[in-house]
Amino acid sequence: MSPTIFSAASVKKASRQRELEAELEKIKNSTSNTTNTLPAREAAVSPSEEKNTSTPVKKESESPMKQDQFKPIEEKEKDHENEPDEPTKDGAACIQRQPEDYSEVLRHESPTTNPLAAFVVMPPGATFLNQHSKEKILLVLRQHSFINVKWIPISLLLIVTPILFFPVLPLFDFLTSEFKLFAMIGWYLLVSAYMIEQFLYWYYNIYIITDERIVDIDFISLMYRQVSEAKIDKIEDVTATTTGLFAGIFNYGNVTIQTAAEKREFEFLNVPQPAKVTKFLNELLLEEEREKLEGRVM
Amino acid sequence: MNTGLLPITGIISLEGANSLFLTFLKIMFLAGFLIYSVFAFMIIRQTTLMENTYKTTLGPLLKLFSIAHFLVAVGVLVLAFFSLYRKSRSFDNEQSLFCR
Repeated sequence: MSPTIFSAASVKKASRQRELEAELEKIKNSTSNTTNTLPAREAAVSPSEEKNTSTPVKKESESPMKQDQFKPIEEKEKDHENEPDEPTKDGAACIQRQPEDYSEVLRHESPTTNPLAAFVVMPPGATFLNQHSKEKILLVLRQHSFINVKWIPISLLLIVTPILFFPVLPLFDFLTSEFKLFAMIGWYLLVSAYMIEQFLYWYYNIYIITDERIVDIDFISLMYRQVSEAKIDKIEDVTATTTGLFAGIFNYGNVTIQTAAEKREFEFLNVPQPAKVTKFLNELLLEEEREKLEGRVM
Repeated sequence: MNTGLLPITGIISLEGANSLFLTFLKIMFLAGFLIYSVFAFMIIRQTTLMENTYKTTLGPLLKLFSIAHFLVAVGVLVLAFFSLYRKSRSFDNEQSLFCR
């Protein structure tokens, strides 16, 4: 009996030894896996947050391992049972929702290819200064095209003025033909300067809404440019205002955004469909809050 | 060179006044075209700057247009300089012949 009992005990011991070895192997494998996944996790974090996040990630991966090694097997099994199902918080960080998934406004719009449009949805090939690698331009706004009505008739009138009045009025009769010619050229150059200035002012005064922030690019004059930005989560209040007959007819107005950023107020002047812009900004705000709750932080 | 002044009295003659006025006008034209060329150059700079700020599909076309505009402005300046200078020279020659 005793040799049989001895052999059974030795078998138990041997099986226990094998279990322990298997556990050790598991621990080794899991340690190597966590060190391999670290760069990928760090890459998911934006460069600005890299310094802050890299240290805690390492602590998370290393410190539980050390503690884990000294736990009995039964406790380890219990711990494994209590662990949440995949994907975890880290897994969720890799999944970014597409703008169409959470924005009803974008779902009903197709990307705008017209470069002169005032309401540009997800412009293909457009980028802006200091844009992050994963940041997407969702909406680009300019002043409504109707705003150009102010300067286009003036320009046309200035163009036809010499043709209409020079032959009638004998103002420059004392000048030679060369002087007359250069006076005419000078006039048209001035008109073109006015038109170019007005067009550039309209074209480069833009408001960009990305999935991370709002950017206001102001082309104030030929010598002055101003770029202001605020993160979406800094937005506190959005107001749309439509005033005037033409604003009502052509559906344009001002969108005022109060923020907690350095620039307290952003004003998108005379942009088309101000109600839609406000709705879109609210959708972005909601998504930003949802991201925070779910831990999908960019 | 005809200064436009009568030799004895120092009073400006009609032809001289005309010549002075045309010279002044010529300088004004050239200064205007020069300022316009500087403005055209500023437009190139600004278009490049704004294109770097916000890149669009229309950006290269705008830049090309601004360069063409600058070249036209410089062309007009050069043309004005040579054309008006030649005119002024021929006018001076006529004046000097008249004074003789």
